[in-house]
Amino acid sequence: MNRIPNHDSTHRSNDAVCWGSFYALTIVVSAMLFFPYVYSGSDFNPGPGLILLAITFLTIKRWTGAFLMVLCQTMLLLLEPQASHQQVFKHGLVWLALPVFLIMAVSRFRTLQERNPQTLRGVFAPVASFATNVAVPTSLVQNFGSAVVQLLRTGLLITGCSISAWIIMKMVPIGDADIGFSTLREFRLKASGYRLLILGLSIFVVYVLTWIAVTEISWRKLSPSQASIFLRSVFIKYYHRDLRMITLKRLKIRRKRARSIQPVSPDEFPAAVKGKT
Amino acid sequence: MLFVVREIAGWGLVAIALFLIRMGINFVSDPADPKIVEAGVIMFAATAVLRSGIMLVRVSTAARICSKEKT
Repeated sequence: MNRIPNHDSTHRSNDAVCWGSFYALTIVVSAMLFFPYVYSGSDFNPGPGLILLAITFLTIKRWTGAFLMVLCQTMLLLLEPQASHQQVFKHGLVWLALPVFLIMAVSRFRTLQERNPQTLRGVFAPVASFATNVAVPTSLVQNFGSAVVQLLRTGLLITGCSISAWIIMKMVPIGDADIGFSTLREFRLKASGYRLLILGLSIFVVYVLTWIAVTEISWRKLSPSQASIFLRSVFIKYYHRDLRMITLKRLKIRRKRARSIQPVSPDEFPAAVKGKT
Repeated sequence: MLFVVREIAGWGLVAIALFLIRMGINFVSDPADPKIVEAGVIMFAATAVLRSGIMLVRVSTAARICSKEKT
């Protein structure tokens, strides 16, 4: 009886290795297709090339890498001079976009498969149901919905971060020899903005002083047990980092194990109970 | 005695942090030549020093409470 799960787990791990190799290979091949188009018609600059290479390798491990890659491409298209645009459009934008989308898709599938093989099936099931006219179980539709929501959430987060970083970087003068880091004009600060800055700093100082006074007064009213708990946690944090690391690792493994136990969906529950009885 | 030394060191760090904050404010307070980037760097350092000072004060206070309980 015990042999069957062992065989099953070995089979599953072999499958995972095969799929992992396939995904890595696809990403590398797509990157090889994609790089000549990025640098066609321009002198080779190793800096951006290395960044793009690092992002491509990041997609093998992390799904966020694919988003970064798309953002980098969009930024390159916006920042590069018009001549380079013509070059890209002459070679065909499709040939540039296709490998990027392929890398994105492969990275996403790999992430989904690593998380849960059921999820990947759930993503495709509603699409397949249009063609076959077969009703899809509710749990699969929910999986599809949650995958789309997660996708949108990640996209929104990265886009928001990029826009805020762009706005901040826009305020710092870079690349012009006449511009320094000192005057209001260079930072595009209006009189009202400057006043806000000074007021904000003044409020920060008042806040810091009040915070120190209040927290220190309340801190001196700690009970001995509370103080000993605090001391233990501080000493473990600073003097016994190895113990802290072991405890955190154990917690992480425990959480991972709890997440890997699949909850039984309401549709399957009666059947599962019947099978046991 | 050791607790007192730690507490004094902690309050010293807090004082240094407040001095750094004042320095940061001085950097931006001149409207003709405000040094905003320098002020940002100083404020960041001041926050780090403040946190460590407060931490030292808290540890020494907690240790004093624990030692009082033992005796």
